[in-house]
Amino acid sequence: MSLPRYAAGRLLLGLGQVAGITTIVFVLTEALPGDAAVVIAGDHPDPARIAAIRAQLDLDQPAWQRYLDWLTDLLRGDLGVSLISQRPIVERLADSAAATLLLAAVTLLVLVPLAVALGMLAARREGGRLDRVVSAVSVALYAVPEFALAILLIAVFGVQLGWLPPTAFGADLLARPAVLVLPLLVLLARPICTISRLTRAGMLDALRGEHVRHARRLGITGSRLWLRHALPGALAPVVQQLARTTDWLLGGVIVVEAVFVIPGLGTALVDAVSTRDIPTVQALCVLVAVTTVVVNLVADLVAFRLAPRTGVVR
Amino acid sequence: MRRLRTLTGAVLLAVPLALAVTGPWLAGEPGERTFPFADDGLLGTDFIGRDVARQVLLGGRSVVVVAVSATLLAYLLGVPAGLLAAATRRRWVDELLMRPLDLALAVPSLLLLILLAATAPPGPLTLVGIVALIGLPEITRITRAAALPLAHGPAMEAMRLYRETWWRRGPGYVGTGIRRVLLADAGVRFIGAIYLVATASFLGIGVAPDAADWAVMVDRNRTGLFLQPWSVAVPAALIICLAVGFNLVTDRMLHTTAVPSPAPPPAPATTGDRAHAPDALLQVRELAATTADRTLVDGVSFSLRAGEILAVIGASGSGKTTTARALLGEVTPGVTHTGSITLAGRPVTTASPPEPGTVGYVPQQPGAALHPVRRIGAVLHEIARHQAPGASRGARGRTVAATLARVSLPTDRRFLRRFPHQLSGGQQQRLVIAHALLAHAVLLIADEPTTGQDALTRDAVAAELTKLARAGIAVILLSHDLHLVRAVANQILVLHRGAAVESGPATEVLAVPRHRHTQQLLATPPARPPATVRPDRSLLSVTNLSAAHRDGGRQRDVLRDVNLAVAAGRCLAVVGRSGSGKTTLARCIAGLHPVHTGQVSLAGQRLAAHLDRRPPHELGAIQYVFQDARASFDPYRPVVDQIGRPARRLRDATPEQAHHTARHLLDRVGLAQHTATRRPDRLSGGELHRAALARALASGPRVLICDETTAGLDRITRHGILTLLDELRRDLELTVVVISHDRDVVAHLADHIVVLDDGVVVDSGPADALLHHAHHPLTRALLHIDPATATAPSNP
Repeated sequence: MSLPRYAAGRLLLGLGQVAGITTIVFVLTEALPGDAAVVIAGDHPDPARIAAIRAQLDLDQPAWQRYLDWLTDLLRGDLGVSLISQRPIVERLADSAAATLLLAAVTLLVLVPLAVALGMLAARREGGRLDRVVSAVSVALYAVPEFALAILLIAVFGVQLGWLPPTAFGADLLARPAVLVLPLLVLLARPICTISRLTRAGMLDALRGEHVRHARRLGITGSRLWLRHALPGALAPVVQQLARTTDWLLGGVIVVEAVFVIPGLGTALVDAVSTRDIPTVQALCVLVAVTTVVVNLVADLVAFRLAPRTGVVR
Repeated sequence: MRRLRTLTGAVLLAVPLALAVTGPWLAGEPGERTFPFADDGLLGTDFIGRDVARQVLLGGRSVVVVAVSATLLAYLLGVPAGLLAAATRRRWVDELLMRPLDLALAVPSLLLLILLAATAPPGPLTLVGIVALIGLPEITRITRAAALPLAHGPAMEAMRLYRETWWRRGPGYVGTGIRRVLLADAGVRFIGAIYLVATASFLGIGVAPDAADWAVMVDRNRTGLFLQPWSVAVPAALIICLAVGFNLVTDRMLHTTAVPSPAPPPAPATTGDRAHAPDALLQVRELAATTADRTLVDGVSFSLRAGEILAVIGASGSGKTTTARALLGEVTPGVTHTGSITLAGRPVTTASPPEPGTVGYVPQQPGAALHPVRRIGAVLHEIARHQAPGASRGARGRTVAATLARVSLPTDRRFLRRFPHQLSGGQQQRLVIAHALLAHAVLLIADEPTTGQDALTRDAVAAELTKLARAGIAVILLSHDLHLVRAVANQILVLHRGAAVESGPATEVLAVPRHRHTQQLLATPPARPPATVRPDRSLLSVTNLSAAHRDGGRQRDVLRDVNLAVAAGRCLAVVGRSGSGKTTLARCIAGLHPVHTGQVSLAGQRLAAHLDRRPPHELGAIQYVFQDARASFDPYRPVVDQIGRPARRLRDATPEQAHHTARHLLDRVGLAQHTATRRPDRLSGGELHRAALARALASGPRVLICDETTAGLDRITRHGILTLLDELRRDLELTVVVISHDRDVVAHLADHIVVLDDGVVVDSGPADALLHHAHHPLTRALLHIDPATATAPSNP
């Protein structure tokens, strides 16, 4: 199968996924307990007011009618208005996305070179001291939930030693880069384990593979053998894992944002769910779903190019 | 190191687990509440003034209990769903099960957690349900992926051919097969559950805000981190210990297969007199290779001049490949080499492999030697640049083009922009040779270049090798394909269990083999006793059979309007190039291939198209012997047990009768009883072929279908199987249908031959006529000993 054909098929699948996810999101949010109108009426729950709000929110319409309206609005880029703040949701998302994007970008920039290099170093001498240390540490670190790690880091570096600010509360992320250090460490902890392990395993496989041995017999050695002949084959699973990491980062690293008080997408989601701000929840979910689908699409295309296909044309 | 890691994990895991289990009994009655974040008690007080130590004792149980129940629930639902998706032959069931799960996997799990938790009433049950639901898709997918090859592989088909019970097929075979995969994965799943449960509790999902729970404690007491760090640090540390400890203990996925690389052996003395054969390019003296308990190669010596072709022949396991590896100077872990190898006047050892580029190696699967993700032109240019660093781009291009032309490959830009997987097997082979030529190889080693290839491809390979030798390159050919060896070799070296039993010029060795083993290897198939003449009444007949394969949603016709008939006690051979539809035809007859029109009849009785709809006596009447005998046995049961089953299932034999049948058949096929009581992985390839024949005979069939039954076996084993098959045919009056592209097999067995090309019967007739005086060019190319006179037909 050629790359364009694969890409077209994969794109169709992605569109299907987005359609499926929007439906799931709508159904789930419909099922959220509590009546939005009652919540908004707040301290003055008189029936007339609630009825008025219901009419304003189209809650008196049948569900499928609202679903279609919501979908058409989505297609026009209109995400609606927040029930709580009465501001357009697009503005709210734009504000939150900046922080999350910054965090995700910095994490990826540090993560990719570091993890791949670590994996390659570990593969250089299989079973060597570095390899064993890296694998033991990554097995251990992988299991640690972020909040626990975050709290420990804050307790040690923020409170006991006082080297770094314990939270980013109220700080401008760009003006004070120091507030980013602890969140970054927490965000890196798990992905660095998986990606370095995958790189290492892929490199070992590739170095044992017949085509790398063939290249070595032809006189190609050193960094050229490692980077041009062994690494591309090793990267295919890494890229797909990287896609998962990326959408985990973009999907609002909910815990990290909560612990470090960073006003990102994760915080926005937790706030919206706790205040029953249904349009905002729906918009956030759609945003996350679309990002997920797009990131995975890109990763699959890259992996398709990198994946070894040993089949033979008949 | 690994033991230490597991021990550390066990200690880390023991503390939180012990606390979680015994904590609630140790906690005692709640004490007086005092001030928040005070220093009272062992660990101070929490955000509402409760004793932290007591909360810690109480708070472990919920995490552990919820995570365990959620993991169990996820397996309880996910494994059956995955098995159903793998086992079903209806595509829509599979799609219906798997597509929604794919969708669920596309949503980040924390997002799903928050959404689901918000819609359901809080409580531990909700949390269990949600965490199980999040773990479910991955478990289903893993189960399906592990079970899929088992549910549709040869072993399953073999069992369906004798209508094996559901219990033995499902839990017995598939269940045992996936057990290991699932167990290895369970640790990871449990960690995921702990992670989700703790995180959910931390975010206040599914638990009461003041619950005694380690994760909730971390969240609630955060505000007092400056005043009373213990109330946060202790529960956080316990959660970390639980997760890390568990991962360290169950870490199987990340198992390092550290093979201690043997120290390079001391370079052997190379004092051997080189004057012995001054013009020899390669000189091997007393080469030996040993592992800890076995001798792989035992004192092999030979020499080879430039432009000569040496054929190394011998049964599988005779040391051919080990010898080749030694010539390449490559280390196989655990193998020690002694003796001396001199290539172009330079010693070759594992410590000093031959000068890069001087030795080219063409593996059995040439595709494996090609970089899978780079265009072939880029790699060719890289090799050319490496050889002549200063040359201009244009000069390199000319060198590459000239080399490609030498191996008869296209030189245009479009070809150079292809990837290796876009080439045919023959083109891949020639490309690997082109690499070696570009690197100025003086010696080329070709490992079984014609295994599984038809006669036409073999001629192309022979021509290629001869051309290389004429250009002054020494070639070593590892093969058990005697036709190829006869066609190209100047020298022959016969290996038998690692020792060189005979060597010399090819003409002499082939004409007058001295060693008994060589004679066996070269023996022509014994002439068949003439078939007893009998009235030819057709037993099995196929009329207007058409079949298609589903190829990614599209139907591709494989067989078109095939008609054939075989008389009782006769042997029909179906021959054709690979991809011509031979195997599909055989599978249609056995009822294994689903989509087909037309009909198959046995003794005038029309058979159902699908084997599940055939009554037991019809099922037992037609049995099938698979190409890969090893893959057609359930690896978890003794072979003898499986041989008796068809009698038990299709002929209503009692267990004693079935066992008796199995023993009798084992004797018949020449397998020792004690060999057959083992599991299939302890039997050799030849033994398993005999066992597969015995199993196929256990239902007392009238028709036996053999699909490439001897491909991949060495010559001596193959002769044994063929002779046995012929004897069985005569003694039991079996009708045999043989699928093969091997002339020897056809000549040995067939009374009648049908030639297939692209799904259509192009030629058919009595074996004698087609083997010696065929008219159709494809028949001539496939079956005549010297097909050079035949014009090769195009293969669409």
